[in-house]
Amino acid sequence: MNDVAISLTQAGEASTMVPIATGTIQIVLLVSAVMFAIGMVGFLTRRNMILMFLCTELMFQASAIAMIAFGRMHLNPEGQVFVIFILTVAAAEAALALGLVVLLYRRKPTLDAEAWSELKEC
Amino acid sequence: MLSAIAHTALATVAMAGGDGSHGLPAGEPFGFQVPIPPVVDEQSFALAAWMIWLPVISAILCGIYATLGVKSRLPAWTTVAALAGSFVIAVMTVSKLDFAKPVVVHLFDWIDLSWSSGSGTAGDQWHGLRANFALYLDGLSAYWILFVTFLGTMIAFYASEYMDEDKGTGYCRFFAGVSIFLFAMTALVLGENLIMLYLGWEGVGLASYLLIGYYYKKPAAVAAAKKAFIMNRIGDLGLALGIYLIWLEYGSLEFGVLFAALQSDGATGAGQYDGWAATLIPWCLMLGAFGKSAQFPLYVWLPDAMEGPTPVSALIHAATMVTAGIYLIARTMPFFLMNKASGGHALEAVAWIGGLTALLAATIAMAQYDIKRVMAYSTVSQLGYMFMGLGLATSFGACYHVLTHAFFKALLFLCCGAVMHGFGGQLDLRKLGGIRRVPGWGVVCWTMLIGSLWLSGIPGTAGYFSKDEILAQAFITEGTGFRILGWIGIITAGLTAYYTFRVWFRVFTGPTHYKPDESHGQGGHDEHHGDDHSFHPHAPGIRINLVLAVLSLGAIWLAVGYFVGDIWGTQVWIKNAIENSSAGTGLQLMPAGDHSTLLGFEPHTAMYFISGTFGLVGLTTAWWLHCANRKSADDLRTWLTARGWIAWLPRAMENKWYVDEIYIATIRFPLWIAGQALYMFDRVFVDGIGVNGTARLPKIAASLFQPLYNGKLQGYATSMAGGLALVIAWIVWVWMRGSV
Amino acid sequence: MTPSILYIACVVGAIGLFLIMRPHRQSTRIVGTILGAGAIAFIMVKVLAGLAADAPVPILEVIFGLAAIAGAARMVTHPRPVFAAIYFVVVVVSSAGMFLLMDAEFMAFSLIIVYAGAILITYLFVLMLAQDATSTAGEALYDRIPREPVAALVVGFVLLAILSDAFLLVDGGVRPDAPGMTPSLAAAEEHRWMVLDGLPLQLNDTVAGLLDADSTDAAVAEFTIERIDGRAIRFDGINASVDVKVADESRNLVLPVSALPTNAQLVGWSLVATFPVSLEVAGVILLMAMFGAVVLARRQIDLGEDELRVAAGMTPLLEDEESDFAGGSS
Repeated sequence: MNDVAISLTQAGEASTMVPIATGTIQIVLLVSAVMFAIGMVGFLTRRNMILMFLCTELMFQASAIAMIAFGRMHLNPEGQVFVIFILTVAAAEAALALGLVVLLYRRKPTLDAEAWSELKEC
Repeated sequence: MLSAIAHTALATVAMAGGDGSHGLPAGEPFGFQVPIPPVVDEQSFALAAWMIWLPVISAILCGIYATLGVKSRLPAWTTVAALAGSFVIAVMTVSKLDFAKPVVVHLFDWIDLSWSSGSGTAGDQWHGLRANFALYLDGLSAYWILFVTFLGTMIAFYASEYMDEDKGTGYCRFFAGVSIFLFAMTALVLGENLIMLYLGWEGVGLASYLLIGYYYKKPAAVAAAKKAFIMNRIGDLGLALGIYLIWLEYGSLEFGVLFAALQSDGATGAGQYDGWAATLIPWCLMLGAFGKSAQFPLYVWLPDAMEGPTPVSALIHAATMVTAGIYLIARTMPFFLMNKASGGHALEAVAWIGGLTALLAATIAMAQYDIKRVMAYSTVSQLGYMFMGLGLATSFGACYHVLTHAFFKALLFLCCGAVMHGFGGQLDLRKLGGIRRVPGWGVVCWTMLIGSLWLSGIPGTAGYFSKDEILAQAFITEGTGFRILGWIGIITAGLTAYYTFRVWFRVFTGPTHYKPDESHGQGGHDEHHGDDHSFHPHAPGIRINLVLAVLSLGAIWLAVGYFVGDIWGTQVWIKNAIENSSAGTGLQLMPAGDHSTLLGFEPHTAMYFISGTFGLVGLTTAWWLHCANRKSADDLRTWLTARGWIAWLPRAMENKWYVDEIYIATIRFPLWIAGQALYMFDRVFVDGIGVNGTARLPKIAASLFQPLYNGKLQGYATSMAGGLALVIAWIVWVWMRGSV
Repeated sequence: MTPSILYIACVVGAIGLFLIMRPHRQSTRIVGTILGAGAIAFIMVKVLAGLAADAPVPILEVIFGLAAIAGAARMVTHPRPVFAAIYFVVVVVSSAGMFLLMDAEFMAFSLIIVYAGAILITYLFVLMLAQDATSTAGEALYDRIPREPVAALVVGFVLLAILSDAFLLVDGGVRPDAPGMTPSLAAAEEHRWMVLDGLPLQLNDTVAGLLDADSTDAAVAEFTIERIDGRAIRFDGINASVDVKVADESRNLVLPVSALPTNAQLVGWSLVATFPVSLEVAGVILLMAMFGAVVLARRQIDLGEDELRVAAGMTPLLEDEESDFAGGSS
């Protein structure tokens, strides 16, 4: 790990850090945006409840990438700290969501989200 | 906002009237006794605070008892102990007090506001409102607090037996109400400022409402409670306005500051004596006093208030609360005198309304059959005397009559209550008779005789002296038609003697017969209620008799004390207390040297004979019609109703001069019409078009989007994501980039 | 690059994803893949073309990014849930690679451990658990047919268009070289030195190492680091130094760059020094989620006989049969 950090420093230079190039950060953010969009599309189109939640994990992943990228851009570690919180929320969500899915699955032996449409009034 | 507008408007009007010509000529001494500024003394009068706190503690304890479900007489003893403690402290406090030197006992800071108009200019004035929770001890409040706490103690003791049947929650509720009443009454009487007086004023109104409606399952009691409360609101509006105007005009509500401001001489304070607001102040205060003290036209609630338990009628609606109006005017007497000095007629209005109410209520009382109602109208009538006394600028007479009336009217009410209690709720004097001879009723009979004699003003009784003080003054003070008013008062005195003894003779003399009230009859007695002796009354117990005896001894002491000159002489003591306080009357309203005469005598001397004669005539008439010749009363009524030209008189009297009906026709019916109109407006426009119409709009809008709500999770998610996309689009295109 | 080109690329990408979603049609899936990859590649080339002349070409970022996007696209379109989960592993690993490139090595490895190691395994576990009874044929119907793909694609790619617009085209949006966008390097470096200042043991070790290397003596046993206002390290914009008192002799030591705290230390410092409350709240959230999962999973659903049979893949009992005996025998 230390090697990676030190590899960014260049011997003889006064500063230990280099700012990230605009193009690089744009590539990473673009990837994050595309992942987010794909995750959202997946959430809206997949009918399998477990996969829907997996798609939300994908969206979490995309936002984590954006966080890391912005943290790198602003040269502070707080972006990474936020990723820790995102991981927390993702883990909590996974636990609860999967518990819910198991519960629902016990009621109706299907994972189809369309099977649960009691929210409509008539 | 509204109040600010009203403030400005009133201030403007007050300014506009400020340069009127009613001001006193500069330099002329203003002839009312203004007490010296009060001294703040918390050391030697530290105990006085407990006068006000003991009833509070008692009320809280009664509430706790109710929660705990206490079924014993504990609430009664708590209340009696607290009130007795209050009385003892009152005696100790008053014995230390020099009437000529008012004392302020500061309890805690309550309201202390100050603000400027905010303009920041040189003329910007600081306004303030300060009302501390403090006691103002002077002759007037000392005098009042003594009999209020004494009668409160006595009547609570009486009620401990009277309310026995309700032991449990009702018992607690009753005594909590009494304690609240005593707290409010002490705050009213002892308050150092008008805000505290107002607190007490509303507090006694609340206690009165709670206690009139004590039998809340009885519709008549509930209606009476509401009536009392609403009628009092009208008066309270007057008082509130009066207080507001006083604050507006003098910038303070503390008695000490106010009296000092009024005392200041013409050179500096002439402007303070006139102005539209200052002229109006006495009228507003008067309205408040008339509401609370049941004067025409706001008296109709008092007879109905007799639906409450009798101790309540005795304590609140005869002896203490209804005298709050007298106290208010006595306390603010300088404003009235000021009004008179600047050419106003407020005092004359007080006198005339008091006198006419006295006559009106007396005539109604003559024709009532319900003995408690007779006493209620008698109370209205006697209160009328007191107002007459105030209006005639003899606040000593008025306050003296307050005291004697408090004793003998409480006594009479408690006797009526004992009768009602013992005879199954029977109050109709036609269905009672000869109770004198029923075993165990001796004390009630003879104490009620004392009360009746005192009320009738038979020579030698306390009521005689105090009433004469007022009546004679009518022939001394100068004012519009005051002599006529005096004769009205004298005639009323005769009527008073008549109706009082009508009750006494009917109920206590003659052949013994009684039957319980149908609505109160128990079980088998109902079948043959024509039989007089199937119903067995239970005679009052030791506590009721004891209270009656103590009250009659008090009444006798008041009479005997008149002849004793030293400190125990009631008249000297009372005169000292009243005339050293703010109620001290202005002698300049009376001709200086030669008093006017009445039938060639000095009025006070003449009045001894005149009113005594009238009283005895009334008594004799009552004896003749209701004791000696019982039939003749009915004959007289038949004779009167048979004659067309006079038949309206007994009917009108029996129907209370149709005042209630007039109220209904002139006030309630128009209000009902207006209410219906507003109700229809509400139904059609507010509810129909405004509320329901508005409510229908979203429904219509919703029906457009209804298909979106298909109950499918992902359908909702799509909407949400779409919304999110739009929000971000707005942020990026409009906010970040500045254009679409 | 103008916005219209970007939007057109998004539309093309959406069409590509739509075609990939069509199940069991090899040809359209190939066309879709080509369209989507083309759109992504086009935009990436456009971005790379705008790189400054002296900037290094982010080859690794592009490779990891394309892998992540490909994994994600396959994940949301694959008809078999288990494969979808495995494609998600591809996404996670690729993201971890990008984290590494972004100097977030700690997060990269925790991502692999937490996501690929824990969360995804749970998903797979539940998938296996649930998949078993319903589809014996391998693919459930609801897994093969996407639900309202057009609406979802419109929403998702409108969002993408706006986001990429904001990321790529808005002046100063995410340009690190825009004025005020990033702190000066000196400030960032000073912040890091201050973190080291807050780690006294590590600072001691560093200073001891420096003194060891410096002195000709065998051992410099005693030294004290002088602190002024609690600060030991002084940073002049170029060099960081500490004042050390060795045997009553004051010395000024310039700290080497290698003494800077590591990335993981920086994250840890930020976590406990800047966001302690959030950290606690995160812990509470995890605890509550654990409770919630336990409570939810413990709840038993009482199913009727028929429902149990259906759940077990058997045919429900007919109503006119004598259920007592039938129930007993089964």
